[in-house]
Amino acid sequence: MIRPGDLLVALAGAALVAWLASVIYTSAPASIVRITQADQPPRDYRAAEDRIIRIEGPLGETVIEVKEERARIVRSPCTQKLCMRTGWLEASGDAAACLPNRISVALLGGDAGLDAVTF
Amino acid sequence: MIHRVTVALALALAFAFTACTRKAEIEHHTFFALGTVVQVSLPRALDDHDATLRGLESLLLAREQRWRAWNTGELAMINRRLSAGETIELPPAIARDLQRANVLAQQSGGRFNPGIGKLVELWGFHQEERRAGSPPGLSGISALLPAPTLDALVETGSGWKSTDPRLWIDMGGFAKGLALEEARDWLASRNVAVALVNAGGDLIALGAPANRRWRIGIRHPRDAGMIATLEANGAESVFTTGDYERTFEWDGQKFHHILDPATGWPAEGVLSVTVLHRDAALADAAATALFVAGDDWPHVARALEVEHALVVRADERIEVTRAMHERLSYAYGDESFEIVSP
Repeated sequence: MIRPGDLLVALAGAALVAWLASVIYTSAPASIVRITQADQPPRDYRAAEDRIIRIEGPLGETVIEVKEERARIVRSPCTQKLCMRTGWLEASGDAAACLPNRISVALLGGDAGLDAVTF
Repeated sequence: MIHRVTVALALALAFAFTACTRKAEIEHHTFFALGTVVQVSLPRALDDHDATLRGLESLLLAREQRWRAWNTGELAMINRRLSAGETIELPPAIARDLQRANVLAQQSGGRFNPGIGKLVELWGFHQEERRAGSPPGLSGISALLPAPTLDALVETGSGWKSTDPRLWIDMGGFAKGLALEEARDWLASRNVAVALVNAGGDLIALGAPANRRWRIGIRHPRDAGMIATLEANGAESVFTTGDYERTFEWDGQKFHHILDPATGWPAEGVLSVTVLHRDAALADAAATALFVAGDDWPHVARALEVEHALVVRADERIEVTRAMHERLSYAYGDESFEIVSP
């Protein structure tokens, strides 16, 4: 048997769920861009903040672009440019690396994402 | 009056959502070893990440040094002495792994062949950065064919010697698998029950994060998107070999580093192969063998007892074994794929 109070609780529950969902999903790509250089602690950047990051490696400057929760290596001093050809990293777990310049970029965070990418 | 059940339901729903907002239970770490970037995922709750990472890093660096086939590697020294005709002692761990590599090489019908170091060097793929220039001449290649195999490495009363001066052992395509298999044992010996170790796109899984399995994306060989995702169980390994890993261009043509030991030229017909297997070393060798096999990959998969494989063909058709198909979710688009029985 349903009474008016039940409806009230159900509504309150639904409102709570809707509010939590809005909090979770607006911040859902709370993922981070992690940049690692050999022999140094990793540096994390919010994927939600667009920026250009310049990192000095043994060969020269690697330039990383963070835009709309994606990241990519846009310039690299290495000869093969494999890191640039990886293109945009979009899913959590995606990574690109410039081995000659000892720099790697990875997208992390977000429980819904991937733990790793095989390639 | 308010029913308790309704209240409990509303609360359960609310908690179900807040549970998702908890901080991720897995932490990711990165270091450089095995000639690539190693990403290690460990549970936040694990004590002393630093000691685990340092131990893992030094193990993988030691294996990188052991299997480096040129310059200052331990295998490079062995190669030099063998090709000079010397009879030498082999450390038992190296002898064991070389014998294992040869068993897999034979099972694969020679598609995986760790004896073709001279061919690899002739093509320039032994260097981290290949020097610009043309592919090798035909006479240089044919002088190295038929390619030597590890059968040329024989044990005599006083040690090991090579019966073919052209034998140069290159464990690329196997060394990473061996190293990750050892990493798995080492982590288990330190009571690390949950971990993911991803060495440049080839990985081993131990255990699983709370309430779920490890989620692995399989990247498309030609674009940045995913073909599919697969959920790995603890104690599984996923290895991918692709034609995009090391390449060079000459005269408008592209050449990649996965050589067919039968022809001495880069293997044709396949863009990438992903193998899932409990044994990381086998998965590594099998990914190379299936790549080289091309059309014939289902037979080679059967010979190596590989049940889970995904092969992207040169025309971008995707072929999968049934067992692999059952493990995949093709969540990223309507890729056309075909189920093939090994």
